[in-house]
Amino acid sequence: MVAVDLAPSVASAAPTDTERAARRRRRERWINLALLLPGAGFLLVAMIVPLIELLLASLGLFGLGATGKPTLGAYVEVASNVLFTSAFRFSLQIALATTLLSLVVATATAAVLQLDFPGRRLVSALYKIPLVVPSLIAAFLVLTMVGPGGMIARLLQPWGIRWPSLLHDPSGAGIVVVLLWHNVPITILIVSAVAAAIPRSVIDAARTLGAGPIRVFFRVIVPLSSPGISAAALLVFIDAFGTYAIPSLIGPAFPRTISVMMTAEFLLHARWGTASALGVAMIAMTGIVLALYHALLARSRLLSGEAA
Amino acid sequence: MAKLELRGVVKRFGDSPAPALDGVSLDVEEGEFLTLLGGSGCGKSTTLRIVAGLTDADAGDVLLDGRSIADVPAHKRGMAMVFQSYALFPHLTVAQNVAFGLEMRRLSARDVAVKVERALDLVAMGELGKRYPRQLSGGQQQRVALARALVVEPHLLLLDEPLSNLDAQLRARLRLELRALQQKLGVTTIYVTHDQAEALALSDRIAFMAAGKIVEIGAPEAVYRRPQSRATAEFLGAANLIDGAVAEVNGVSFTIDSKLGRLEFLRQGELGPGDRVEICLRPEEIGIVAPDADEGLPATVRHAAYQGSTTEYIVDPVGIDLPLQVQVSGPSAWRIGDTVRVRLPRASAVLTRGGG
Repeated sequence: MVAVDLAPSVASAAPTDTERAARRRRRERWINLALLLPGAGFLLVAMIVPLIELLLASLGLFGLGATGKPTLGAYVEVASNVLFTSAFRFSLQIALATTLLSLVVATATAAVLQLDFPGRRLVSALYKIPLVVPSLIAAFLVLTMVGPGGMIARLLQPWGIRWPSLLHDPSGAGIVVVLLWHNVPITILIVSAVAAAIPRSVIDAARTLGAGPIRVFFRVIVPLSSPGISAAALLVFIDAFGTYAIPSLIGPAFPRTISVMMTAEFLLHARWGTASALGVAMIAMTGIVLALYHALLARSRLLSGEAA
Repeated sequence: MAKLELRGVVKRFGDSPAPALDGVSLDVEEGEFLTLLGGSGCGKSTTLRIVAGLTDADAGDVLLDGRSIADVPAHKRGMAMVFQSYALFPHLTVAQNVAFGLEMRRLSARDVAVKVERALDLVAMGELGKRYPRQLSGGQQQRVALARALVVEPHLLLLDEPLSNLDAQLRARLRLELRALQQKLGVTTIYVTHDQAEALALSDRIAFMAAGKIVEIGAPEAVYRRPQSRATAEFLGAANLIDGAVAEVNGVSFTIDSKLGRLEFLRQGELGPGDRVEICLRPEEIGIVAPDADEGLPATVRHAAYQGSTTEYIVDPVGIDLPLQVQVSGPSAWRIGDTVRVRLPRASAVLTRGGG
């Protein structure tokens, strides 16, 4: 109503007014650009430039050992040398195991946390502790608790039980344990937030229709939490795939994770080419996972009819 | 189809001093449509959730066909519930939603398909099986929810304000459909609502609840025309409540002294001379006649509002400060300021004053 009433007065305004409006719009465009600058500038300087440097370095065009001629030598090296291929496999293995275990533990916990039980608030406070403890400290926890000669091993010794070594073990189990310590709470937090948004009545409907707790979990809570579950999976995978501090502290000498290899290539061997190629490969892998995530999301939207 | 009994059910929430349910006892007969009616917080939904097994009672018992089901979890009670918010599974299609309860009962895929189709046809949603809930209107969603509940052939159908989220026209239509469906299937049904029109239109019996107790229970006409308490009388519709005292009792009728003078009513209850009472006059029970009629109280029309099928008046009996609400069918015959006579019904309810 108001807009209709105003329209004639705008139309009958003097041309100077339209001129002034145009000037104001131009000014606003500059202000908008100026406001964008810090964010866009940061992105440019802190992300785009290093990425280009990385790409150039991996092609032998930048940094130490640059030949000035583009070469794929570093990539060939990365793809053929067993040190690097095993690093890739090892990182992938750690990332997949961490993601899968985080999801299983966290989704079950998130579902339980939806219920009202005595001590629920204590549990939901306790599981957040690892969020404020750096994972490096968790790595030391593994050293003192589950390492060889650690607390658990010593506790079990009188019973004649041999505690498997989680320290420097080539399976990466110790690394996964520490990564879980940090990633399970994050996953619980994300999945809980989504699970809490499931209407109570939807769960009640499932219960009255004959679904026991387990079927309510698998048939209602898990599918309806899937946006949170997939988002958490993505975050955990990317974090675990690129993990450096923990494997460098408690990981085995062989195989090593890509990050550890990369650091060694850069700092110990000054081979910028292979280090950069490893970096590019890692980013490519993460990119593929991200693309898969979005494809999955689009497909689930399509399935649930949102697109229609 | 089954018979349900509640025995002294008590429920408290948190530290609230007043219990949400304060000793609710109730029998629902096989095939009956019983409505729990009351304002918000009266305990009607809590009662329904306790029947469904979604909430545990603190005391008392719930019996299905004479056997206690207090310890039976919700998913083993063989009931089905319809919610105000529809509560369809958003990630499943209409057909998958309806199939859910059957799959929980481990029926073969072929049986499921046949029953789902039949249930969707029953609620006139046969065409929309492949849609997702969010692609449906509120009324369609609630039809699907009803099909999903009925398809499992529940012992007991529980409906928690199922029509409250719908617009008035749709509500009236679904009300009729729901009643027809329930009578066709003969399923024992408990219906929770705060809408007295729904309760009156749907129910075999209405249980009126207030403050965690069942105040009154009876057939719709009985609770509407002969409420036992002021709370019921007021909740079920407009009422002129007039204070009085019993003057004489003679045979089938008695007389009551009130502001309107000495009035004669059909005798009811165990009222005797001197008992203080409240007369409940429904607006549509009062008649307006011409001023030269030889019966009724002289009165002046203060207000007249044409409502389409009826006209509502407020009339002031001459010399008495007691405006009466009157509803007459058809267009307005009297105008504001007209002198008329009001005829009071002899069959109106007379309540014991302070009786709840």
